Amino acid sequence: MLSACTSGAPTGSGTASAGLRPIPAAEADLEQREITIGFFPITCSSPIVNAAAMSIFEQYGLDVTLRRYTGWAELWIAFVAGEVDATQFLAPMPLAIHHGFASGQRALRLPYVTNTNGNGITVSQRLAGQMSGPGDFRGLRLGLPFDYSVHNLLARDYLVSGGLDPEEDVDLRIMRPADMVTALAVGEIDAFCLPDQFNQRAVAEGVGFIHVLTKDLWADHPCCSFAVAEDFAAQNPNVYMALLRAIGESALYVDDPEHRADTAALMSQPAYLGLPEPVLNSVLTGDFPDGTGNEHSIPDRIGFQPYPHESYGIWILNALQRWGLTGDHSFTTGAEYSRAVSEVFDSQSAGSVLSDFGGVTDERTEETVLGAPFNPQRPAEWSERL
Amino acid sequence: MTTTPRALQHRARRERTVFQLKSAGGMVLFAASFIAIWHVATAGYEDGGLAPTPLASGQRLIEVLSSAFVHNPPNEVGIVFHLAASLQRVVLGFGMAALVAIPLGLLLGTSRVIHDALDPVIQVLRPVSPLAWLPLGLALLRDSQATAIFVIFMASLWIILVNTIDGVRRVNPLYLDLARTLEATTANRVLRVLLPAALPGVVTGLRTALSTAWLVIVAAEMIVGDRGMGTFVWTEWNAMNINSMVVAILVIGVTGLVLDRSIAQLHRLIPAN
Amino acid sequence: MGTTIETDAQLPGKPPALEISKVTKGFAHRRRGFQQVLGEVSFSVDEGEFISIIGPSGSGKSTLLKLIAGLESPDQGHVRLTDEQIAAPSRRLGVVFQQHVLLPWLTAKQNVLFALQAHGASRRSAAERESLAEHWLGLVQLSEAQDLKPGELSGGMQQRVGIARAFALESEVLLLDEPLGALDALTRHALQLQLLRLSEQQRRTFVLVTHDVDEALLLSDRILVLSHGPQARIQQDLRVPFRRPRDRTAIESSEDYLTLRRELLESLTAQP
Repeated sequence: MLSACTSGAPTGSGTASAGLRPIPAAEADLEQREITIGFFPITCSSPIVNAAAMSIFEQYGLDVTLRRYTGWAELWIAFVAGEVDATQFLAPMPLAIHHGFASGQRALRLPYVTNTNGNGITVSQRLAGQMSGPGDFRGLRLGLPFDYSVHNLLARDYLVSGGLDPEEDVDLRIMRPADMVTALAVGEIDAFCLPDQFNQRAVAEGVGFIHVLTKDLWADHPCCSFAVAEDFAAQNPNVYMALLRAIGESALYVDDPEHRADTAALMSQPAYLGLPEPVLNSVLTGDFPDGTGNEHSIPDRIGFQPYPHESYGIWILNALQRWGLTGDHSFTTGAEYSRAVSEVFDSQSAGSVLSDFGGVTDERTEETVLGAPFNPQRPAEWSERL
Repeated sequence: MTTTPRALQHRARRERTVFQLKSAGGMVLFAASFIAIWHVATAGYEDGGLAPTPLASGQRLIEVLSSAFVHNPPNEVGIVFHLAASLQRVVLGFGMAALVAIPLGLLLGTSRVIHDALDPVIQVLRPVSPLAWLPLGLALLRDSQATAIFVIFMASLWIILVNTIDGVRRVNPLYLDLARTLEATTANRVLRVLLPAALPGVVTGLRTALSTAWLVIVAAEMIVGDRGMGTFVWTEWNAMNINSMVVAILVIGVTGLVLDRSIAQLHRLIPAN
Repeated sequence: MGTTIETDAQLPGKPPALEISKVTKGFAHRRRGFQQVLGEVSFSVDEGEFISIIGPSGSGKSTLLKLIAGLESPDQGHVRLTDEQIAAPSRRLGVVFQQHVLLPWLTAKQNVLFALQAHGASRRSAAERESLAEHWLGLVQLSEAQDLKPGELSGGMQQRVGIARAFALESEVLLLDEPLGALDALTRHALQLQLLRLSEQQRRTFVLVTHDVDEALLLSDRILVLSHGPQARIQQDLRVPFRRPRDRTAIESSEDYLTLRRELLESLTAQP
């Protein structure tokens, strides 16, 4: 239903990369045309949703149906049960599902992160002027979207950096993201760490202010991902590559600062994200009020370079293990981490597609998380340093 | 006329014991075949434990029960405290509903005029799903604890009210004639005649309302509430501990059974002299 | 027929215990319209007198009793209890209902006690009430069953509790609405004798509604025959001349008994 062409959307989407654009796979080469992709209605899903909105899937011969989910656990079950074979996930989820860290295992590939940055910690207006750092979260109730989320992992380490024990000193509450703006308004929670649009939405509703953008905790960190079931990808290699081309092209289109405002307008339609355009515009263009009376212009508030850097996976895996979320699995050496991540991250396919489109494909050798350098070869050192 | 021979009593007792043994045996048999079917049904999946097996669920049950009394707030709380929190909400919401609905039901059951005036309101509000009150409660009360209790109140109120009215309507009119010929005071007429006579209807209402309340609290706590069985289900689900769902279902079900059985005992509470 | 027959034994100066004058009563039916159950009914009962009202079924006997008890109000006319007009039920009028109407969650004794304290202001202490209840249950031979609940009692025992309850109230007038109608013949027979003995020991005014001619003849000083409804009236007022204390066998074998009995049966079967 979402694969319908939208009038007014720019066609020939590769304005920036027209010359490099490969010839779309002939329909005859596709093992099947119809595929259902799961998504979560937040700005992170822009590359996937935009590919449908701008008919990019169609140009690659695919007939895509987007299925909306509002709970991450539902989406997890839907994927493991085979209801969807390709879907948006929070970045840690594919690692957990593939390796069987919790109930529900299915082998899969993660070719893309759908976005980098694009998250924040928003605090209730009642606490305006009282929050200067992580230590001020003592005794507060912090809403989080899911255990297997970068939000959960990064927020916990952020609290640790303020000298708090997240288990003891802060009331961490997993909630449905859609309920959290209301929960913040009525005082059921004091703050939340969520993907956008929720941070900007709380500002627009006048109930909260943006305390910190997670890009300032970890620059260009991954947030959501796109994953395809291993069995599906193996049986339908051409469909898999066509999906990567369509979403890759869409992601790089959306990543272009020139296209952010148009994308916000398109995504705001009820058929796609169905969210207020000013909110989406603030998130995507990076020109936004933060709820304390200040205006910001931060173009990299959210990014859409999809390459799955191994360093992302290793930091996530290390954090999952530190917070007891890897079940009976444990990882010690850099090689063990690297093997577990490369089993999931399909950087080879991503690299070949993205280099055709002119996207970033250089592996990142080091991350800086919460001010400390993180070396993916020696993941344990980072948390000790913190 | 009243002295049953001892032998008869013995025989009656023996027959009762045999009957109880038979039903207990049937129950064990049923439970065993249920677990067997469950095992067969879930054994075939290779999905990394998405579909909970009896064995995994049993292990999880032991884990949950052995940490039942752990109290390390805010983030580590045993199931006993979740259960207590849910029960507290249900008792408060349900109790307040009973306090409002029973007297109101006695009034509406005896007064045609007031009943006809209020009946449309009751009929419009009664079929509203209790969870539909949740956003409204949250918006009005601005407090998740009060909202959860409010939802339980709304879920119980109409059921108790309608059943109480019905119970009063079914009271033998001669009892009320008797009360009149005795010139019974209003208090005596209502508390000593009308209420006990209408009690079957009231108890039916209370039973239905309590099981509905228990049904609703779990759903409500998945949305609001920092502690409770619903919160437990929600948190365990989001940690993808599907085996915990089976434990939760068991605990919720057994608690529901105990609640229902205890409220059914209210029949015995009819006031004597 | 259908004219009111005034009682002939009224002493001047002394008001009757109960006076029913020109009472009419009808009910609105959804389909059949308004039904006049009772035509103009008038009669009076002297203090200490035992009267029976008999009539074919559907003649409005029970309606008449409800009017006297104050449970229904007449459309016209009035009911007077010595000096007071009856507009609502009163403890001065005790009622024994057709069905036993015992509260099933109370024991026999608790049922009697409830009647004694239901109106709140009792001049007796709790202990006095208790011994009064036990006394009356003893008089109907229910001492042993006093702690049983109605469900554990036979039909005859239940009705005896009802009788004990009405007597215990010490009302001036006792209204008995076919109290033995639902019992088997043997039990009815025994209870009739019990009622006879009680009514002769107790100086009360009794109004008994029954469809049993022999019962009426055994118990009453006077028998009023209601005509066939609708618009039932009193078509006959018979004096029962047997001496008290009465003996059933003696009465039933007397010539007068047979004559009265024949007369009553003819009157009951007469076409309106």
